[in-house]
Amino acid sequence: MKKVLSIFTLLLIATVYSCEDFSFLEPEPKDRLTRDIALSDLNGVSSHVASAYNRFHGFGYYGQQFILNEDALADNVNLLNNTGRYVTQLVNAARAHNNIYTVGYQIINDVNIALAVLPDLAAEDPARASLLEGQAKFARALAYFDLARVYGYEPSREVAGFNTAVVISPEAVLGTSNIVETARATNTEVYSLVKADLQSAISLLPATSTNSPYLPTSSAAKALLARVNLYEGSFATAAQLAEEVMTETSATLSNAADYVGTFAAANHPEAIMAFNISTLDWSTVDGVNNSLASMTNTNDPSRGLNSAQGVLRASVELLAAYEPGDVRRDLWVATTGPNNWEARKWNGELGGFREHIPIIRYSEMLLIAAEGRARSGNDGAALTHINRLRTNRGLANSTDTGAALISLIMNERRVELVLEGHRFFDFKRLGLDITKAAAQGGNPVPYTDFRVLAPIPDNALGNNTLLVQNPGY
Amino acid sequence: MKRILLSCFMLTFMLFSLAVSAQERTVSGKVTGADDGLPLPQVTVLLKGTNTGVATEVDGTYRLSVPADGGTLIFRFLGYVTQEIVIGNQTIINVPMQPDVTSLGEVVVTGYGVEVKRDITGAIAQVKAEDIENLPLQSFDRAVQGRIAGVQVQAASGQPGGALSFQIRGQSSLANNTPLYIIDGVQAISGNIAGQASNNALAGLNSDDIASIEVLKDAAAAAIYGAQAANGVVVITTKRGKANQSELSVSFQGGYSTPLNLYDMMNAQELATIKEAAYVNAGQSAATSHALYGNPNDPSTLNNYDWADALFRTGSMYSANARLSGGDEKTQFYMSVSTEMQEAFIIQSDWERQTLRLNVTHQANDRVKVTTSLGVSRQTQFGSIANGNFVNGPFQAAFTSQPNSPALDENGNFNPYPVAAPGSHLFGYNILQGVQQERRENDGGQVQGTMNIQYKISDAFTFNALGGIDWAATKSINERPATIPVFAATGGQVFNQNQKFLNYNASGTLNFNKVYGDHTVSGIAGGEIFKSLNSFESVTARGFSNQALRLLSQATNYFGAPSGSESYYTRAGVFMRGSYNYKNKYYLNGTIRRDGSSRFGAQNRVGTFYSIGASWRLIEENFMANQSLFNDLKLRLSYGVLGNSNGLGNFEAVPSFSAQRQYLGTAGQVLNLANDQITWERSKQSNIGIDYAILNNRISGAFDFFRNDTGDQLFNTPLPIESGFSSIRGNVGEVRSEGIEIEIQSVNVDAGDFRWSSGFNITFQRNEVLSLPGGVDTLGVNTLIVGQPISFIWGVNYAGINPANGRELYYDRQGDLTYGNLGLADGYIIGSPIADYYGGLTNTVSYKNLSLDFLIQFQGGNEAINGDLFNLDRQGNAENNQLRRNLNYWKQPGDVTTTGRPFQGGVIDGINSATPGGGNNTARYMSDASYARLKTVTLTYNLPKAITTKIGMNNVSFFVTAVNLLTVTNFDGIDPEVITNNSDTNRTANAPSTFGVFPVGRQYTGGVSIKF
Repeated sequence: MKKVLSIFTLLLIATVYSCEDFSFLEPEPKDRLTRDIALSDLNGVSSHVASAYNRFHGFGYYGQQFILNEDALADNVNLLNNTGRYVTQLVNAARAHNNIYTVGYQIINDVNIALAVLPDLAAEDPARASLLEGQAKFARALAYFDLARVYGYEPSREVAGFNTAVVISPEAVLGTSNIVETARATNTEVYSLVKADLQSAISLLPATSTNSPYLPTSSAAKALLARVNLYEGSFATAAQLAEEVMTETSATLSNAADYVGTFAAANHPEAIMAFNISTLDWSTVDGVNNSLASMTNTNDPSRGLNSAQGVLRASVELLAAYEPGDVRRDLWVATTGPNNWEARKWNGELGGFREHIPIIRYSEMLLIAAEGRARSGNDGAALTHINRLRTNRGLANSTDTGAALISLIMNERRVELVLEGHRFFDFKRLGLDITKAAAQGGNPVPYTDFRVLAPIPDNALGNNTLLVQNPGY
Repeated sequence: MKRILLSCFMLTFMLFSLAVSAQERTVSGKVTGADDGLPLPQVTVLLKGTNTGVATEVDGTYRLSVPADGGTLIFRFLGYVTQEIVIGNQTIINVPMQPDVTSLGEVVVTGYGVEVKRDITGAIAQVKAEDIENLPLQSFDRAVQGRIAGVQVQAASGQPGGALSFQIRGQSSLANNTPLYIIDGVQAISGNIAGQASNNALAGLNSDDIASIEVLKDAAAAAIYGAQAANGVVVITTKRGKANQSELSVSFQGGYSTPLNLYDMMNAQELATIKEAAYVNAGQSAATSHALYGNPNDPSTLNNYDWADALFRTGSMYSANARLSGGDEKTQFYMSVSTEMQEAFIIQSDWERQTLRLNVTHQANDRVKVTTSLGVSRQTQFGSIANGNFVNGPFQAAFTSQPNSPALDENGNFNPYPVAAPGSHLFGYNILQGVQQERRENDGGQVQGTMNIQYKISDAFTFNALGGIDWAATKSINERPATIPVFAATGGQVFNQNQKFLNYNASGTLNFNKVYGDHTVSGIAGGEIFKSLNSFESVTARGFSNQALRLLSQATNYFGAPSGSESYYTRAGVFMRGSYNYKNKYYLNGTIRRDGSSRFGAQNRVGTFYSIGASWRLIEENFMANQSLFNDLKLRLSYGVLGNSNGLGNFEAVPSFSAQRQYLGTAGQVLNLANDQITWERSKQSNIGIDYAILNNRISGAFDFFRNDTGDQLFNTPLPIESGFSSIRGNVGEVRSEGIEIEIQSVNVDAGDFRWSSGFNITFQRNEVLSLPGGVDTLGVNTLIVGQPISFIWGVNYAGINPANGRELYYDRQGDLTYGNLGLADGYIIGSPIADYYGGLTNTVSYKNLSLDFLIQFQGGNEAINGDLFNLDRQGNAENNQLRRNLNYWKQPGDVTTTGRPFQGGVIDGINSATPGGGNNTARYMSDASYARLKTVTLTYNLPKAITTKIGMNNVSFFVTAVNLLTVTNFDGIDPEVITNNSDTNRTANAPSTFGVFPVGRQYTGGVSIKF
């Protein structure tokens, strides 16, 4: 008995003090890299930049909702087929809004990581390092600008003095230790950051690139900066920048004869910046479930759009905004019924509903230049710009001035940029009530209504005690 | 640890036996079983009051030196009544031993050994072969349903061959509550192992091959499995042959299955009526509605097509089984083959399985005994799209499809859907065509085997070396031919996925067992390693010249990126258990195990787990001697700390970057935040139990109270989203799962030919979050709340239809009436998916050769949100067909109705009436999901022996079985059992509990079983 006890006691001691440093228990994953390998060279940096650009074309962002919401929340579209989508956005139901919060900050952290390690690696290839820094800063500027315009008011357009925009992430998050709760910054703080990043990107990025328009050039960064200035109300600066872009960019303005066809082409000639979608980026059901083409076309096997959802059609008011002879009107085709006008802007021309997504086009620069000049008192320059656009859209020159000219330019924006993510923001940035189509009741959403700002998502509020919700939610 | 493990084994081998000193004369004899007369090897023969004893040989013989004046011999063997025989002057003592027929006398398999239930300090329950024989179970985990207190088994899907949810003593882990399955010593693969339909890995084992299923419920029973034991352990032992007893048995059964109560849907005229009202109420013309749904007053515009009738069917089933067992004293074998096919009650859904098993036991010599088991199986499946609001899933679209739009035209060709405006509903998906033409197939094979070598060092010491392997591979194929309009542009699409799983484990254990007079001491010491690997790869091909072609190589292009993964984890541990009992009256048991796992960070990779158990057999006390009520009475106490690592991904503790996505040909890379401090969930488990037998063993059973406090929960802790991450896995807090289990077995009538026995079990359970990290009361808005169970249903209560305007009203958090537009924070807890109680009732009534068995299974006190009602109970606001009860809709102010005012689109004044907003659930679609179900009824007739012997058969029985024959419930849905989000950790508080699920069906089978 004693022997047995002593043996078991020995074993007990062995049990309690065993198991340390046993190589069998060492994890050796084959599908991932450790930090010292992953971020040891510029390839690691470019991977993070690639990750960020990929995220932009997710379906909650430029891949679909951020493009179409801005028409649905305003007055350009009506419901065609009810597949449950855009039903609530069309009537501005509370909380039915843009939601780019999570993806926005994922992009920001991707590029923050890239920017954090770049200085130490730049010596490897200084030219490549500059290029990556420029691309990273463009991506960060675009993400912050979009977050700021979705969740906050533009500077000087605040309602009841609410100038809170979004959180500015203090630094790259590489581990849990540098995660801190941060309060929302003001709109001017976010705009300053956006402009600084874009100024830096303009100097870092090349004027031309074989990857253009799918990665930014200096003119793409300048074009975005023009748009940011337009939102801020710095109209003369916006116009100046847009005019510079038009002389610098390799994108060209399409003419009236080509206009409709350009949207069915794989590469849009007017694209100054676009997001590239590869077949590798989509699952088999993404096309019919989530693509821009599926949302805006009905079933059309002849174009490879089988069982397209066909959720949105032109509103009566939009169609009325086209002047006779406007080639842009030809982008709307009556299909299943006399009132079912479907767009031919998103055609899924690469097959399986896939296409690249232009986000800044040459014609937007003309419109910014025209609006910027008109709003800063230079109707002559404004007319030159807007008439150049009209000529290339099959319309006669205008001679309007003053308020009529501004109104004409705003209407040109509406018909030129429909289904490209602008309409709602064109009301909001100017502090205007959001007009609605008659099919949605026709009552405008007052600019002071809380629904003009998107709600900060519940999970973001729950996870950061310093966040305040937007008014009214 | 490797070095120390080795030294453990060295020590083991250096052990020596305790010599038995010589005595004066010799007694010999043979021990046999009184029931069958066969020799019993390994029976302990002990001279009372001494340490002298031997074990019987393979042929049951023994020889023992005894004092000249004799004494008393004790014969002890697991599962038999211990006998004491006075030697007197006998020299040959042959002993027939009586099997112990009381439940406490049953032999149960514990971790790394077997014990008699009477001697156990832990909570262990058992299901035996005879309880589950010839039931069309598909997998053995289903066999436990309703039969064991403290174990809740629910079908996660009615898909034949589908996986189940199996929970032992509630949900004490936020991350994972799956028990550990040990099949003949193999740590088995469990859960779903296929892609196109749920395929239960455990279904690879034919339940007719099972000798017993033991469920180790508390710390004292399970602690030997240490770091993976917190969720309990299920130990399965397969059948083995008996020496000199050849048996061949064959059985065959066939039957069919039918759907349970399906929804009562509107016909075309009824839908046209409510749609017309919806269009007119929304300010649109009746003509618009008529163009789409027909004119309710013009029968010529109406068709009546019954989609459910076209999709649901009566499915058939058959199974055939052959088993051969036998052997001699040295070698015993068991071999079986089986085939089984079950069709579901919905078209294009079935499951087929073939199994082969060979178990061999061989006594190589007096010291070496080798036990092997090998199971091989193949499962193929055709699956349905289910468990979600999928337009291409038959359980959604069979009901939502419009009756005015027939699936087929007059020539029998598929119509576009809906005929009136193709594409305007369900993405233009004709569900009948979709289900008929799409192939969703799983094809998998599995091999499971173990070998155990037992070396008898001495009478007291044995050493066991065991190696086991479980390998499964499945191929999942999805074909979407171009003939389905949605897929036409692809030219036909084929998706192939290969998955592989491998578990292996090896252990060495030293067992010790010795009786010192009134003291019995036993112990186990051992070490074990375990590795689990899995990998998959998949690819999608498109463009087939003919839709009959389907090989990847025959495609013209490939879509998207091929995907794949390779992963594994390892565990290693050393363990010891010591047991002591005095006079079979006082029992003490202690277990300790130290485990390491590759899943954890280097800082916290190793943990120590333990338990202590004690029991007191009061019946052996003198003060119980003079009572006649109790035949047995035992008090059990146990406490222990067990681990759980199931909730953690394999490499989650490794800070790393993984390749994800790409842009313009540059591979993307993202950071995986990791917490290298992460460690095991630690479950402090206590148990108080009483085992009893009264009234001449007519009534027996157990009461248990358990409490599992599980801390360091592996759960996502929220991170500020502005960091780019929304959460990280942490050790999050503490959850309590506690309850009371009651088990009663009774022989109600035992009157000669007529016998009626029952078994009843019920478990009352409670679940509560005790604490959260940082001392907060709430994690997120409603992720976890201190004082509440880990699962609850979040949303707002429903106030009914406003009689003034026909709109739905809800109560917000303040109790104010609202039409909606709420945020998540405006919601509150409206129900609980966790049952307050569950259990089962079994009955066996036999008269002469006829016997009737039935099992009623029940649970209660839980609610569920039926997501189907978001489609079907919407007063005609959308394109979906509606439940017939919606016809009684609100028409004018003052109407008090349960169905509101139809309104096309459903958005009134910017409020979407379908939901209260913010992701909140509405109690409108919540109902009580309590149910009681007559799970199985079996009537068996055994041919009289007189006849069977004439035709050379040992036994012939005919049986008929009905499964899910009756269900009593108030649940507003098809099936209260299959509630997907209640299963395990799918605990989304603000999502419907269930949506488009594959319910269970009713099944009727009959068959014959013949033993030669």
